[in-house]
Amino acid sequence: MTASIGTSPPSPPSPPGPSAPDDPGRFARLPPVRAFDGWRAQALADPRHDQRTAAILGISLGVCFTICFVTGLFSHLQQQPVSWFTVPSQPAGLFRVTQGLHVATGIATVPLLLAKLWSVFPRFFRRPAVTGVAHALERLSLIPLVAGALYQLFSGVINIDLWYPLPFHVITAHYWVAWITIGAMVVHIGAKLTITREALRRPTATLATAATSATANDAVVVDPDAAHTRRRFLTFVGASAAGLTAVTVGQTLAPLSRLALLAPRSPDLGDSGFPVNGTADETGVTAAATDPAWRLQVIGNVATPLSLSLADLQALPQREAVLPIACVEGWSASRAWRGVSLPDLLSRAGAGPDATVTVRSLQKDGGYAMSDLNHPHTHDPDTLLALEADGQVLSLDHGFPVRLIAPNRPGVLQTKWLAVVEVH
Amino acid sequence: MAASTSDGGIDEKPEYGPSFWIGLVIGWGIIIWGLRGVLGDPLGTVPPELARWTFGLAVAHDAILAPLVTIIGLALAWILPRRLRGPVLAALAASGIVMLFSWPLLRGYGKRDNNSSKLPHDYVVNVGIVLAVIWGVALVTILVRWRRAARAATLAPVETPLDRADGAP
Repeated sequence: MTASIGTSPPSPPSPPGPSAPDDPGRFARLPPVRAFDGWRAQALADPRHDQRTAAILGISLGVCFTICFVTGLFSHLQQQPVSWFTVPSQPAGLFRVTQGLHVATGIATVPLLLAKLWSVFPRFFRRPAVTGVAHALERLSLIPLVAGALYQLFSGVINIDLWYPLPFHVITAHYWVAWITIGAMVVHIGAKLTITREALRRPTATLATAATSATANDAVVVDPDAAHTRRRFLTFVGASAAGLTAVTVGQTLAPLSRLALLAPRSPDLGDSGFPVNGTADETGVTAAATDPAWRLQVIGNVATPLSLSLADLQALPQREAVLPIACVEGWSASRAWRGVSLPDLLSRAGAGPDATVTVRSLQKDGGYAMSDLNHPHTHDPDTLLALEADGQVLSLDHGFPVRLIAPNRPGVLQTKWLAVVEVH
Repeated sequence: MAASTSDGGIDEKPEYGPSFWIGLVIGWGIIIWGLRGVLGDPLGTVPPELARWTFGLAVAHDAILAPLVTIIGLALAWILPRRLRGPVLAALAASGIVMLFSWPLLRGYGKRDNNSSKLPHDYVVNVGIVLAVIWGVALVTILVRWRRAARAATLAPVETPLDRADGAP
């Protein structure tokens, strides 16, 4: 008997060339149609293309797309408020977390989706293409699923990279295509529920046996170590997702900012040490914002309308709050903001307890020249008309002379270069 | 369930129970809601352009990217020695993902002259670092496997006729 040393001796190297039994090129010498069938049969017997791998990747994608959908919906509700849901003003960092998660998950989904599509690609060519009405409906539903998923990731990535080549409003389309993709995902889950359950329950050996018995092509080689091959493939996919996340998530997770080699923003780079979206020059407010005649008007449903100069605002009681500025593009940065508390200012103007507010910028055009504050945000003492960030007077690009900064709110709604506080 | 198909491959036998029909009705309800939103805001979504881009991406994937990856994968798997296959193909796939993801950064489409906080890094250098790490890991994996195999070959005992059960030479 051969003495056991705990490790199997290595198998002899395969002879080179297409005659080797595990040689992927052995179908190349066949006529094209048979070669294609051979490739497909071999691919389907490969554990990286089997149902268990598809199921594991499918579940991972389902979780990721659900996270993106829920967090995206939250962002949408912040920007397009509805009567049946009031966005709370606390916890202050909630939007930072949800939007950071939205973008980080979307980035991690890129390798997952590509791996899943590669894994199921041989099934794309099944014959017959459809076996009945139900099967036709299932395959039809794959079109919005695949097209929608690819569009969502593509539009998400180009949006955080500030690249706008599409001839339509990317975010509006991103929102509606999200519904289409999620709907198609629900159809897919319903169609694959039983298969997924069986594929995850079935021992790996049974899968290999099924592959052997089900194939009529003798040339197909079944991987004797399918579990190991699958584990290595899934480890690679997981590592790719983790790696891509690691080199980008530092744009919102400051401790990892040095690792954020592929992040389009850095939380500590920019004017005054944090990023800027629209600059004063771009928005055409430089002259108005630096004009000594500038006044902040507090108007609308108030007992005493106010017209305040910068010196007037500086003379009012000041409040400091550490709040994140969190952008929909996924970056965020916390700063110590100092300025006049909005509820304090409203009480000086004699606004009622049910008041809500619209703030308007010196910026004349654009979707972010104004923003509405709901009741919780209007009355949160940490909602500031900020004059300083980290002990320094606001720079022009960050909203000098005064900007809105409120807890749990997207950066695009933290209106800069304020001119009017209109009370409702 | 695995079932034989006409081309000799294995595909799941389609089974459509209640979960499929429930999912179909709910799912298509949501899809129609989304389509209604797309069509209801034609100035924002420009439906013909949106359709062109969404289906274009799917076609680009299915007709170009996936076949290209498959052909390159098969060709390299044919050419490369077995021990190199896994690490080299994995590194190549990871590099492809990184390049695809970084393309807008490398091209600098989002850069603005008057705003240094937009795309603030040197992405050519940074992508180079990421690719160097990927191929470094691949190289280490190859070396570790090679060393393990060499050690196993050294430790493997030489089989003598006396070791065999039948004692035959």
